[in-house]
Amino acid sequence: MFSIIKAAVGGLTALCRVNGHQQGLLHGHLKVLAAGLKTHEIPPDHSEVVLPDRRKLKFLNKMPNFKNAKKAMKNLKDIQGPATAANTFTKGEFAIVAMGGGYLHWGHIEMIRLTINRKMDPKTTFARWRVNGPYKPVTRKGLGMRMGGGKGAIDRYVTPVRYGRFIVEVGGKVELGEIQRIMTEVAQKLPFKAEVFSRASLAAFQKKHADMEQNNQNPWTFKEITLGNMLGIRKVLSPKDLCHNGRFAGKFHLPWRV
Amino acid sequence: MSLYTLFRIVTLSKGIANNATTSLCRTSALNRIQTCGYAKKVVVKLKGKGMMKQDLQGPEVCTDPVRLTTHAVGANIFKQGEDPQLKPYDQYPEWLFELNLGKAKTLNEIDPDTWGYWKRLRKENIWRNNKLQKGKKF
Repeated sequence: MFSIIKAAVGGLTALCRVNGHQQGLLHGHLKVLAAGLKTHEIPPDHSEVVLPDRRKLKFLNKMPNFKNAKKAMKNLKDIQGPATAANTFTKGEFAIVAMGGGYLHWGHIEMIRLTINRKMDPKTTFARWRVNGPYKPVTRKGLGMRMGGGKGAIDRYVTPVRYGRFIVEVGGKVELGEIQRIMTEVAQKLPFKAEVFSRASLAAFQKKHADMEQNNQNPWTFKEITLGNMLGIRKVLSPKDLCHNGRFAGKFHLPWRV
Repeated sequence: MSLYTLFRIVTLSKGIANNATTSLCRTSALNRIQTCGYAKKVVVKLKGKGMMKQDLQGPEVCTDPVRLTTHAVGANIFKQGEDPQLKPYDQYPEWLFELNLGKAKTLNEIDPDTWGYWKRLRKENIWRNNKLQKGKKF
């Protein structure tokens, strides 16, 4: 039976070969199997990477151990504007970067620690914290209490995070493709918008924003309008708008502003 | 397909006349039922003191330098007999002493004009691709 099929196929190909020059009658329908060539790239070399002794994320305390805990004001400037600390890479290659301001509480920190420690491979990877444990007190009054009677008791401690701050840094003998899934999974659960960057992609991101500002064709920028106090706009602007040129609205970052 | 099996049976019947034992083997191979062994194995618990497990122990490790340099230790796998004696060096081919006994060479240590370089490059690409595919969902 096989021989019959083989003969039939052989006949067809022979027929094709005969007619091939004129019209290629059956060439469109016959699949000709051929071995292809594959170009292999040289894989990245990780031989110079030195891994630290403790590769996993350290446990962070739920609250700081003050002798007498002090209630603090809301201090919203803790989360508005761009980050001034921990906004560049130190030892790692990839990082989760905050794309807006917000508060991390202990639950988030545990979530990050457990997910990354459980899913990363400590033989090839290491992770480091770029935020401190919760230190800013948040007060709450009990449920169903009447207003008044002073400030409530300290409910929890939080870590304020500004736009552009690194949360966790990951490095080692890995590529972004291996670790990205874990990091985006964490980044999506954070209370603010967060993204995963590598050293190269963060530089490209910053360059893109710098280019946008440099090659701007529109003369009516936020800066020009506020500096000239056009239509008396200064009356409704906050002093923070003057120093950030309107790039931030409270804790939110407005990426389209130039 | 039926034609093919018929043809097969005819050849088999011919084979019986020629060689009884080989044809028997063939028929048994044809009629063998394929089993996958997915069913759960029944664990038999051994009770009593006399049924202790006896682990098979490997042969003793030879540490005698004289014997290690004169005999091919471990080359004799039978119970009887001795390990074969080593011949003088000039009776062995030259490539034997040029073999790489240490770690495998990395890509930049191998000459890219050799077949071994491209084999290694392909292998490392396969390893890299496997790593990258690991976390992906279907």
